[in-house]
Amino acid sequence: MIKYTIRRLIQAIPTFFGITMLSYLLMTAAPGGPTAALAFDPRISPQERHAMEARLGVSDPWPVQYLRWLAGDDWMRRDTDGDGKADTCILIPCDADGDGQNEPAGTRRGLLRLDFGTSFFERRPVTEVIGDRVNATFELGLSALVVSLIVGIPLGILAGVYRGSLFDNAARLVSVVFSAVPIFWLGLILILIFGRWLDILPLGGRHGIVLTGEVPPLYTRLNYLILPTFVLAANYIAVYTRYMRASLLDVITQDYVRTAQAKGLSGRRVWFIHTARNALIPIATFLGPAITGILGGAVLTETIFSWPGLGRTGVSAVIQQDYPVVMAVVIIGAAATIFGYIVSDIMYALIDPRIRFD
Amino acid sequence: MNRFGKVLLVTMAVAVLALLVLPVGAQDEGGIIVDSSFGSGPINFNPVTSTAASEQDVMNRLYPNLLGVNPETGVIEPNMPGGLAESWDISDDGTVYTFHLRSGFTWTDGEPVTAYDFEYTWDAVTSGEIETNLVFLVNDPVVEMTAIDDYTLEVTFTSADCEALNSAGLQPIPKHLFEPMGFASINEENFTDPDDIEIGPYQLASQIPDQQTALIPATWDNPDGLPDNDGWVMRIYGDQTVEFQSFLAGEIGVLESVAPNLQADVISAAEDGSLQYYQYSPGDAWDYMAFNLANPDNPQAAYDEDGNLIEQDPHPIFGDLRVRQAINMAVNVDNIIEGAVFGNGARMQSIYAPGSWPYVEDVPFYEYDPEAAAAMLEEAGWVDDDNDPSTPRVAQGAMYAEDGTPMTFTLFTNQGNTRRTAIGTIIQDELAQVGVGVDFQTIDFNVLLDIMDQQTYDAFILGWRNSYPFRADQRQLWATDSDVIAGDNFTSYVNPELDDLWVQASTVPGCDIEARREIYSQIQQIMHEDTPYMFLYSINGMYAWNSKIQGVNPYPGAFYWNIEKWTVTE
Repeated sequence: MIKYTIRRLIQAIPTFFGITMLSYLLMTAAPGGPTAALAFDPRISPQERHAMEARLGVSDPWPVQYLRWLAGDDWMRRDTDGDGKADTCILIPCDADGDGQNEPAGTRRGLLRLDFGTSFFERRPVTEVIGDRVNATFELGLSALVVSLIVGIPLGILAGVYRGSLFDNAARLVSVVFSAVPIFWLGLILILIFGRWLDILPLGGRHGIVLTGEVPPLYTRLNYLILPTFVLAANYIAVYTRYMRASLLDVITQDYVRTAQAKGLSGRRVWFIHTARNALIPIATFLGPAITGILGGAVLTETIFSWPGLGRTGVSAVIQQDYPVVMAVVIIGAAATIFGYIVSDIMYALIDPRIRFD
Repeated sequence: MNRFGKVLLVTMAVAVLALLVLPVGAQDEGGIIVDSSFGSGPINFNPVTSTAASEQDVMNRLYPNLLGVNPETGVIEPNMPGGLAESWDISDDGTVYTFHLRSGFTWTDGEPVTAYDFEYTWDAVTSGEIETNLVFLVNDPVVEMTAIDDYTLEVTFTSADCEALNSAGLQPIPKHLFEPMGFASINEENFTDPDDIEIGPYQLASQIPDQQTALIPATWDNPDGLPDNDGWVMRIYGDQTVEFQSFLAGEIGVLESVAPNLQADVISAAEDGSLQYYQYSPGDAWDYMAFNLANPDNPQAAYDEDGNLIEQDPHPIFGDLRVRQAINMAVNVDNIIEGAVFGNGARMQSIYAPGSWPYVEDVPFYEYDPEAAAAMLEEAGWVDDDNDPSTPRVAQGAMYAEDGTPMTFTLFTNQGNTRRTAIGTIIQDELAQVGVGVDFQTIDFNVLLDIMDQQTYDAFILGWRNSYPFRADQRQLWATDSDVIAGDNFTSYVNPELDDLWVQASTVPGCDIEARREIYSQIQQIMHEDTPYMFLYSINGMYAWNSKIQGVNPYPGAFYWNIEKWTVTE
């Protein structure tokens, strides 16, 4: 198992860098650029904007930009005489903006040396930008995952056990609705119903007003978590319900179930010990995509519910073309996806003793 | 369903209900003003490097400006709220202003705020070591700022200019802290830590990115006194609909800018007395359709390398003034005001909105007259060759287009703006009725900016927001030397007579308002006739606030000017 996990992680490395390279290419190929938003002021001339682009390095060819992001620029633009200005430059010009003065020596160490860069807009390290938001996304994502599992799986089991009943039909209807309704629409409708009309839940945010800057403990702000969690989990509740029901009905026809019934085991023991456990195997394989999907769903959910997480930051960063932040979000997404699939495989083996990894 | 199933169902139902009935988090707002902002929240409170409007709202409470604006008149005057200059003298030639600053203001650490802080801030901005949008100061008329003593600041301008003061506004950073570390250190400081340094009357209490910014009254003396309320919090919303619903629900107490499509909802909601609002016309934003007067296949700068004026290659359709005027007559702007801003707009006939001080009423509107428009297009050599008004006209003897060229053009606006999409749709429909084909496209804003910079477009719909205090000088948009790439004259409008009038208007001896208005009247008349833009409307502004908030006394463009006096009653 350990060997298998290590091998999978090693195999993931080229995938990971392939994703980053493609993402960087797509990002820089998009029209505009960070200075369109940074310097959107009629008093700043297009010439000045172009000079700003040059200083930020976003007008360099994309392979150079990617290389700088990956390996830093402290070796590309060096200061050998100690005046703080670059005088030895490789791949990029010493005087990027053409004002007759060399730019300061490069200080970026690049991703390979765990330097994610500095946000163009927040003007602080990307690790800080991400660090401020990652807890919120983790909190929302985890709660959505847990809710989707603890609601979806029992619903699927009950729908399978009472197949053809009113409950089964109702569960099917709910699954179809939850699968079909777009997140943004569901979110807005629930905000209107529970926030405005019934006035029993807050309309957005992660917590109420605090002057101290400390995020209050989770148990004091569960009400803020309810709607975004439900909206983010809705689709996965539907998926787990249908998967679980279908899997259960598949397992129920197996010989060992018939044997268990013939041995006189109670119905509850047959359903929940022998049948449900085996029916969970396909669910485990779905966990990897679910982690990725929930991270993707957080983009919309966080925006609608004003949840201060990574998804919303990612959206802002893409709109503003804040390349270092976009790349950090891409890395997190890629890592979560790869991690999710590896966890799925491991869980598969844990649940099904017939499966062994070479 | 067996007993186990029932128990499971009941448990789940109870769990969901329990979550639903949990009380909404107790929000002990007391005297706290809860405000909001939509989109990316404030992230940088450094007066030199900040770029976002929401950040300016926060910084205005933390750092007074050199100059304050009279909220009633919208004009920079001595001793105004938010300004440190209590008086100033102007040299005989009008190029040197000597500002006398108020004393008694201190930084958080007790150090006095002096003219040297302003001088240092100016030096930092112009040092070239800081990435700052304030570089416009470099390009604009300010030459230098020099501290004469602790409370006297001398500002030198390149020339006498009646709007010079608009370029001199600056919020200071503390010299005593940054000077030992060098200008470059300013780049690294976002001022988002509550322990960072401020002047007041508020201080930063906390900053949670994308969630809220909280200010509380300063804990040190302020010559203007400390706020009557317990603080001001800006909540950040990711969705504008949710932000608005949160205001109606009372979760936020203030809405600084109510969109035109929501203004009727506010008026309706205010009927029960729970809300109050202030609607004003004209607002500070206006929409237009810009014509490219230059050939998009051959865009050129205004001047060559030797500074000689380059004769522009005219646009095949819009190069002809008669066509631009005909299009103005073919579009019913009143329809657009109804369709795009729900009637919440004031029509504009030229560059200034009704109500602004340079505005003159005697500049006429283009009357909606599609028949006259069609006749004018015929006269300009754009004929309906197949007697089918639903197909575009073609050129036959047109001034700048080859015969047979169809009269169609591409009209861009930015994606996601429903107001401008409505404008484009109406224009497309109305121009089709006079035989002008419009390929209306909504595109990414960044793409549009690129196209505008490169001048490879036919026409686009966008808007401008007037600066506050109001600046009558629009050379940035219309002067020949602002032709792209040098400035924002994206239409390549070249008119030497107008270039002279702009200078005259800003250098009137004594800056007599009536004399200036007379010159701006000529400018408005010329711009109306030359119509490089089809001027549409200015959008009515609206502020709204919860009736629990007392002391709000807004003026057009000035909502927060007395926020220190606002209080919240339960």
